[in-house]
Amino acid sequence: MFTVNERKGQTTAVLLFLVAMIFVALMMMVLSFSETVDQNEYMETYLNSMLISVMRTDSGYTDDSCKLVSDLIWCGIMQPSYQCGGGAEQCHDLATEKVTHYLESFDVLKKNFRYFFRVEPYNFVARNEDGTPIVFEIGDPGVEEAEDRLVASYTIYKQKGYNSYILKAYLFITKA
Amino acid sequence: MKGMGTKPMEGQSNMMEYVIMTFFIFVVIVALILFLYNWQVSQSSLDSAIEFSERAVDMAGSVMNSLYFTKGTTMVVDPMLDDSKLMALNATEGVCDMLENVFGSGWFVEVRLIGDEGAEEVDCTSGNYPDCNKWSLCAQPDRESAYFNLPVNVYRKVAERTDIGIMTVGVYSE
Repeated sequence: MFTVNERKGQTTAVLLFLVAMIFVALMMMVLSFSETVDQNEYMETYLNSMLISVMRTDSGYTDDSCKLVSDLIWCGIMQPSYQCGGGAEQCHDLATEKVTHYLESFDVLKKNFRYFFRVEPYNFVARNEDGTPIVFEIGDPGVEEAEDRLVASYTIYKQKGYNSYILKAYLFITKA
Repeated sequence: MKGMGTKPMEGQSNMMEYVIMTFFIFVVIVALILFLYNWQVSQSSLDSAIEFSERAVDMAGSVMNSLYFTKGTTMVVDPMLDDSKLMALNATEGVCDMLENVFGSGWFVEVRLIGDEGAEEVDCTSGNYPDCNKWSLCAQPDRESAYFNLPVNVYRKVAERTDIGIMTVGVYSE
C-alpha cells in the first residue's frame, strides 16, 4: 500500500503528465488547422496546359496529316509509314521526335520530373502491316505506376469518310 | 544538535513540490503563448502568399480569356495568344493605364517562345517583329511580385503558324 506522501507524489506526476498532454494536444490541433499551399493543384494546371499546348503546336509541315503535333500523332498511329511533306522520315518517327522535342523544351520537365507520354486508340486497335499493335510511347514507362504521379489527358478526334476515330493521349509525370 | 522534526521537512518538500509544479505550468504557458504567436505570424504570411498567388492565377485566366491577348473574334475566344495583338499592345503608349481599367492595377505579363532550342531571347519591338520571341507588358523589374508560369500556344500571324511558349503572369505587392 502507498503512504500519504507517495500518493501525493503520484498525484503531482499525473497532474504534470496531464498538463504536458494538454499542451501537446493543443499544439497538434493548431497545426492541423494550418493551411498549406497546394503545389499539386498548380502542377496539374501546368501539366494540362503543357499537354494541350504541345498538341496544338504546328509541326512545321503543311500536309493535312502532319500539320499539328496532334495530327502527326494521329498519322503515326493510323498511317505510320506516311512521309510528311514527301520527306524521308515516316510519321511515327516524326511524331516521336516532335513530341519529345516540345515536351523537353520545358525546363521544369527536363530538370525536376520524369515523364511518360502514351497514346492509345479508343475502342479500336491499330496494327502494323505484320499485325502487331501500334504503340506510341515516349519516356519512362515506370512513371505511370508511380504513387505520386500526376496525369493529364487529351483527346484527338478525326473523321475519315463516314468513320470517326478517337485517340487518347496521356502525359504522366512524377518527381525525379 | 537537535534535528528537525518530520513535519517541517514534510512541509518543505510539499512547498518544493508546489514551486516546481507552478514553475512547470508557467513554462508550459509561456511556450504555448510563443508557439501560438509564431503560428499566427506564419499563418498570416502564408495567407497573404496564397492570396497573392491566387491573384496571379486569376490574372492568368483573365489573360487567356481576353480578346486583348488571344486569337479569336468577339463571338469565339480561342485560348491561344495572338502575337500581333501582343505586339500592338507592346507598341502602344500608356497601354498599362488603359488595361488597368480592365484587369486592375499592379500586374505584368511576359510571353516567351520555347520551341527553338538554343534560340536567343529577342524582345519584340515594332522594328524587329516578327523576328523575335519575347513580349513583355507592364513589367516593373524592381518591384516584388508573385508570378505564375503557364505553357501556352502563340499564334504567329505573319507566318500563320502556331508556336509553343511560356506565359508568366504576375502581380505586384501593394
